[in-house]
Amino acid sequence: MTVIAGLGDFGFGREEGAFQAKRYVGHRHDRKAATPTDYFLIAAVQEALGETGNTDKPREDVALFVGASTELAGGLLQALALEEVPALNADLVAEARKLNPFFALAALPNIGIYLASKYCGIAGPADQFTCAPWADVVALQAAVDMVEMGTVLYAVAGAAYARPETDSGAIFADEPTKDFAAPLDDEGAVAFLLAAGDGLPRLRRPILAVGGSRERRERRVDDWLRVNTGSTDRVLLTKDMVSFADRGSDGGDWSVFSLPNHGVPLAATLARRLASGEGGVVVVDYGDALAAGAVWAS
Amino acid sequence: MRAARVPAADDVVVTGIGLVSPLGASREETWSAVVEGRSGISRITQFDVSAFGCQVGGRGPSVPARVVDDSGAHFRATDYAAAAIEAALADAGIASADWERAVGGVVVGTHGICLSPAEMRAYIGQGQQGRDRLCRVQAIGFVARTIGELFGTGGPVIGLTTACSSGAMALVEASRLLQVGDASVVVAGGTDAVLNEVQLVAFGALGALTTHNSDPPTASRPFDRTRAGFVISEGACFLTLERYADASARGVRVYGAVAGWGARIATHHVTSSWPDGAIQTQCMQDALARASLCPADVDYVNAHGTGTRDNDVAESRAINTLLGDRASEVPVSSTKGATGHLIAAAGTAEAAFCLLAMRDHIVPPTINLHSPDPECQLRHVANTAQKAEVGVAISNSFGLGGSNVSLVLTRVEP
Repeated sequence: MTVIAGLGDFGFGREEGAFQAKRYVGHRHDRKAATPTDYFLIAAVQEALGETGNTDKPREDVALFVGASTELAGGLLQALALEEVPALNADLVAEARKLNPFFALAALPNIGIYLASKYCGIAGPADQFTCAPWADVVALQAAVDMVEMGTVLYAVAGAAYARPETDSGAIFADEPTKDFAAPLDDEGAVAFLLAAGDGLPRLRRPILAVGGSRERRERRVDDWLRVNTGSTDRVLLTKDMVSFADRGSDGGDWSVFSLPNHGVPLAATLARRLASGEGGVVVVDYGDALAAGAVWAS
Repeated sequence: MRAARVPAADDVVVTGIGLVSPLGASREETWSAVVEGRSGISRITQFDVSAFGCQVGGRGPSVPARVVDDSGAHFRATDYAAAAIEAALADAGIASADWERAVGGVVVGTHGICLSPAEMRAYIGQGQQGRDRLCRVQAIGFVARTIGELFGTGGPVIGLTTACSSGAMALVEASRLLQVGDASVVVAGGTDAVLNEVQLVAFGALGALTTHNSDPPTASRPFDRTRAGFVISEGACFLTLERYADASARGVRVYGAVAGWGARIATHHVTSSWPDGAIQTQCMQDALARASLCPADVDYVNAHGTGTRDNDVAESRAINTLLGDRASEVPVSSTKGATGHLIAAAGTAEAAFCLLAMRDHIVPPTINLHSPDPECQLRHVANTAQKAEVGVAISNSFGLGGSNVSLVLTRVEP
């Protein structure tokens, strides 16, 4: 059986969250490349691993699977497309030297898993999935598979997102469209795939859970369903999510829950689902910023 | 050479290869050029490169436009991917109707759509609508999503990025999907078209690119004493993977098996390996162990071999550590001398070269290798291909950001 052995999450809102995450990781980031997303990711992975009591480093028996953030693209948009940087109109090379963080992201879209592995001592397989909005689900699925196949003892999986602080963020956040695989990703989401119960390793009875204020939660659920299904009936998900979730299950009956906050309620919900022997997907939206990690141990 | 193995029913085998590169728009065009030692590198003429340290690259060939956004723009990375996937499915004897019926998986490794400043300006010039389009295109999941829309069948569609090892990691993920039964057949690989000002600056800022500009075909010089960095190239490579039992039931040709893999993230430095190559050695050992093989079984190593100073040395040490006394016997080459660095497509293309080496009984060369670096002592296949029987090959992909992947490919009994 695969179980969750630790959880880590940050969801304080962008400003406070970034501050908390920086404090948590003790500023041991690579100054040239770290973004707010990376802070959240590092902090959440550290917390998740810390809860397991496994503090040996380096951890060759630990894998890391991350659902990518749109901030990787958003950072570049800030730097280039939205003209916060005059690189489009000036000497690109000279500007680039001042802007190494953004250009490092252009060359190294996997910088997040590098930093999280570095500061959390992970030395096993690491992958970053980019297929928003279901990248986090794939990450969690991969984690369960790797543990169950005996490839690693632990797998940390989750997602991180911090909204860019400029107009690019507003575009991402406020105008989700069907073309841009939105709200789950751009609102900031993390999915926990529970591999619980005897011989029930695959997705069953997926759950959509949403954080934030009641009003925002309701709006987000409705928006998300409307964008992705054309209605507000809370039983359908996107084609990709449904096909992914239904695979091998007994019908994939989705439920929608709202979580008033993060952390404790989330953990309690997960624990209840585990205790009842039900598996599923929990998608949690904290709003402005979040990161999360989970650890499975065989 | 170790006798070709009889695969088990659940072994993951390759039944199709689709490849688009600066050396050609097809698998055989590219492979012929690699074997003959021709270079796909030329001076960049699509934009002014006079301000850049690196002025050469491997521009991809012309292929049909497949993904067009609502402003009429199309993108080379998705076009290359679509062309390679179609070729890989056709090569595997999977018609469109069969693919639609299959529980087909798609795994795409990529940097994403990397637009040039001029392309970005064009979007921005369209006002808010253009900016919205730009956001959609630049979102890192765009390639996987659009390729999924073209080729998705209801099975998993996965996008990933681990920089230069993305193509190899895609094969790892495909193997996982097949082994756990999430798909009956998977097309997996990598695609990138990042040859523009932004990426020249980005990789240049990391100190990774060559500055040998005067004679472009000789710019990429893996393991040579005069190497100065890698050359960005464009293209895509996708493989069709199935469980052996399914391929056998269909009666299709099998190129070989993805028999093992090793993946470890190394965090010594964001762009440099541990000097002793220990992590890379462990990757190769993991891959061999997963294939139930040992270093004595290895017939050929297709090195990551980018032509960067430190990483070629570290990889050479890793291969020497792995092979021990056999390091002087086992042929090693880096096909990046000819292809340049296909970035996310590199790992898949180089795995394909290993399989084609098995098919044609020939090991491709490392071109532009006239003065091997004494710190890169290997049994180099320098400049000219060599006849060889290859039953077990290792393909290394050691990406920036410490994302290391080794694959073991094996020949199988027909």
